[in-house]
Amino acid sequence: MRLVVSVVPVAIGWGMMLAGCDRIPLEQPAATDAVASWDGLYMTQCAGCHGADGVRGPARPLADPAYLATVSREDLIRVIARGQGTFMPAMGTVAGGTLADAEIERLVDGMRKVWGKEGAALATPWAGAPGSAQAGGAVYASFCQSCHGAPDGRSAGSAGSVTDANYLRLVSDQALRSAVLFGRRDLGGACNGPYDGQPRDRRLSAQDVADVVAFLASRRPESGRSTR
Amino acid sequence: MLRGLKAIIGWTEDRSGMIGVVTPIITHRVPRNAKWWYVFGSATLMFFCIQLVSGTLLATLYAPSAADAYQSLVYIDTQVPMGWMLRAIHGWSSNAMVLMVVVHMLQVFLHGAFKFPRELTWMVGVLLLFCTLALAFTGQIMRWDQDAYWGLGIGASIVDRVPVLGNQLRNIMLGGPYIGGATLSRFFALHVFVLPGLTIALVGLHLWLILRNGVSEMPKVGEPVVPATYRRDFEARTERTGVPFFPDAAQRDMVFCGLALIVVVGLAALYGPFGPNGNPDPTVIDANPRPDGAFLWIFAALALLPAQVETFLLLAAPPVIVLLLLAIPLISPRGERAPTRRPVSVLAMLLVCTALAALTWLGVTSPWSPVMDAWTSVPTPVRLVERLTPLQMQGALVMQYQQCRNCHAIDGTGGMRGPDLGDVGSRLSWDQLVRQVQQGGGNMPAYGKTLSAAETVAVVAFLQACRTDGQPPAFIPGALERAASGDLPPVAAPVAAPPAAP
Ligand code: HEC
Ligand code: HEC
Ligand code: HEC
Repeated sequence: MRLVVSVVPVAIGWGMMLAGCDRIPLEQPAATDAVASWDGLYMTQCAGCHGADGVRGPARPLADPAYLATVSREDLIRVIARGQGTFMPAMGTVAGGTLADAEIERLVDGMRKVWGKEGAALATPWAGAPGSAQAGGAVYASFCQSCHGAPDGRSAGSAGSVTDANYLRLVSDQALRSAVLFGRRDLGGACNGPYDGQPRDRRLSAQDVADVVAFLASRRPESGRSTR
Repeated sequence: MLRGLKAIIGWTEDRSGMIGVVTPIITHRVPRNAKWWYVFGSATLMFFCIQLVSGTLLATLYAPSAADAYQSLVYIDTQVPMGWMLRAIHGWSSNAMVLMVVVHMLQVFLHGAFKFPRELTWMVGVLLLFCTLALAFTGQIMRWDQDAYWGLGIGASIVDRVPVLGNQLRNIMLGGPYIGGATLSRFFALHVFVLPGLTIALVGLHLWLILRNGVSEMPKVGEPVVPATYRRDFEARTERTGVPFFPDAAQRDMVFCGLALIVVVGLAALYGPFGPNGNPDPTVIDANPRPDGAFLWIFAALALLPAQVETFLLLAAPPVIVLLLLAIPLISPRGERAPTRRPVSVLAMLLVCTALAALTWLGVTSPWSPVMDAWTSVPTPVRLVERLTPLQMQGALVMQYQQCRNCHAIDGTGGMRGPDLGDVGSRLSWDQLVRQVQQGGGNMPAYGKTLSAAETVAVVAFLQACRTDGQPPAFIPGALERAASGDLPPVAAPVAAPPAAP
């Protein structure tokens, strides 16, 4: 009797262990080091934020011919290697990331060759200093308000607020500028025109772009950008 | 000269009587057949002494403040002559001590040495086991790196689950709701004052009990322990056939300790100190740190337990294990000691050993469910991206950047360590989401210190938008809901920032 009482729990224990054996996860995930092609790099390193196939991710689309034709190769390499001090991480080994210089170059060349094909560079350069916030307010009212709503929140737009303080604390001026220059066409965001109630071929001048970026930047709270 | 020395010793002995006390202790008779099996206890003691010495030296160099701890370790490693060796020996010898305690216990259990009259010796030994583990755990915290942060995060989330008192206990453990400077001071005090003091006292008690009751003989089939006659028989036998502990048995201890010491110093020289691993900033959370060896099995068990019973087992198992270990000699204080006559005990021991070994091995090798590169490789589902406001979009980026995705799938893709968040917006209200993100809990690290207020608002706004089509956001009737609904077409909700983390 005593033997039975003590043997049974031990037997159950062993039985449970044996039964559980096939349920124990043992496989290692496939190593990603082997990936060498530029699209492989993109899929493992960038797709999480910039979207599969370079579109429709939370961060701006990279599969955008006009964008890739306007930004210089050096700027792309610099942004990828060093990050933007925002949620765009520094991916290069130079700044603590995992991508070697050669890998970043291969990635950039691949993107430009495949996604940047047939892209025409804009007249307005990719980067530029902010202009006048006051003039920017007027630009915003006539070109952006219909989709993004009034800055004071009195009317909401279908595309969501870009004057929200928390939003502005999280993005760089360059991200704002890129949005105005190239829009978010992957999401139907025609931030760069054509605009409602404006002539179809009306485009923002370089000055307009600088002004509206300055306007948005001026709406950031005193505490400034929440940088990483 | 020699006479002078003798005179001094004689004078001291006359006043203190030390030699008179110590001599019988070191020459007391131990059973002749107490062979190599018996060396593990001494080895444990030796490693503990090494820990005391190296730990004291380290304490003179280490800066126990959250701001300086990491830097002071780097300083010890790189600037102090042989400082790295000191850290390496302290680290390796700590692991060796844990190993020796466990082997020593297994030997005692296997040979039934815990039976009458040595029950209390065993119980004190069990307490020493937990002291040793506590020292190892708090020692790992001293590194104040990502592994330390992780160990604390898990510990805090276990404590958090205690019903009713959870929050207070967590505050006591961490010195506040978050892991911070107060936490390190607390664990430093435990690691260098409380636990070593306790351990020294218990070691003293353990040794006293060993001297009082003698070292057990090798078990023999057909010689059961009978409490009524055991003491008399044992004493008669050792008187007849025993050998003095010093030098006979002590020789073996010394040989083994010497070898063990060589191995540990060799490992220390070869592999160097443990950590500090990863960013010194404890607000940076890496989703893949691993605890030190002795705790890997807990880590593995946590990952394997089904979520429904996790809380129950986490809270119920430790007291049950402690009580069971303490009670072993009470359950079976007499009878046969030979392993061949105790098949159930031996099988149970093997079961526990294989389970621990298997879990430890899994802890070392398994990726578990975190998917380590999900944050850069697993996209946010397009169905969500298409209807997010720019602020919510930033929230989706927080999920990637902070590596939440390594643990959390959305619509089935991503890590599986935590729940799928694809519909979390219809399950948790704004306030619940804020709480979960800031305070963590249930094996999720707390992000209160990691995220800025803007990031918290953004990520919670995003989580609230994580719903299947047509589902309304979760809402607690009567509670103040700070976020408006995010139904299509998306409307930028005027969200008030939650109070900034102190
Ligand atoms: C954790 C999310 C994340 C990952 C991963 C990521 N990015 Fe980004 N990226 C962003 C965000 C967010 C921005 C906009 C940052 C800002 O300026 O505010 C951005 C901006 C950029 C820009 C500049 C866009 C502009 O404003 O003109 C480039 C180019 C870019 N990323 C390329 C890459 C590439 C290539 C990879 C992969 C190697 C990558 N990113 C990985 C989040 C990410
Ligand atoms: C036709 C409607 C429309 C107009 C006009 C428009 N946008 Fe947009 N915008 C969108 C859509 C749609 C999105 C993407 C939606 C989202 O991010 O949730 C967007 C996104 C943005 C973003 C966020 C990019 C990001 O990923 O963080 C910014 C900034 C922005 N727009 C600025 C502007 C500015 C400035 C103007 C005026 C020059 C403007 N938009 C005009 C529709 C528009
Ligand atoms: C180490 C893995 C891990 C990381 C990293 C992690 N979580 Fe979690 N999370 C969990 C676990 C495990 C749970 C389940 C908690 C429980 O059972 O109470 C959870 C629960 C949640 C919940 C509640 C889900 C529900 O259905 O109840 C939310 C919301 C959440 N996490 C958001 C986040 C966010 C946002 C981040 C990044 C800032 C994050 N998590 C990072 C593991 C993680």
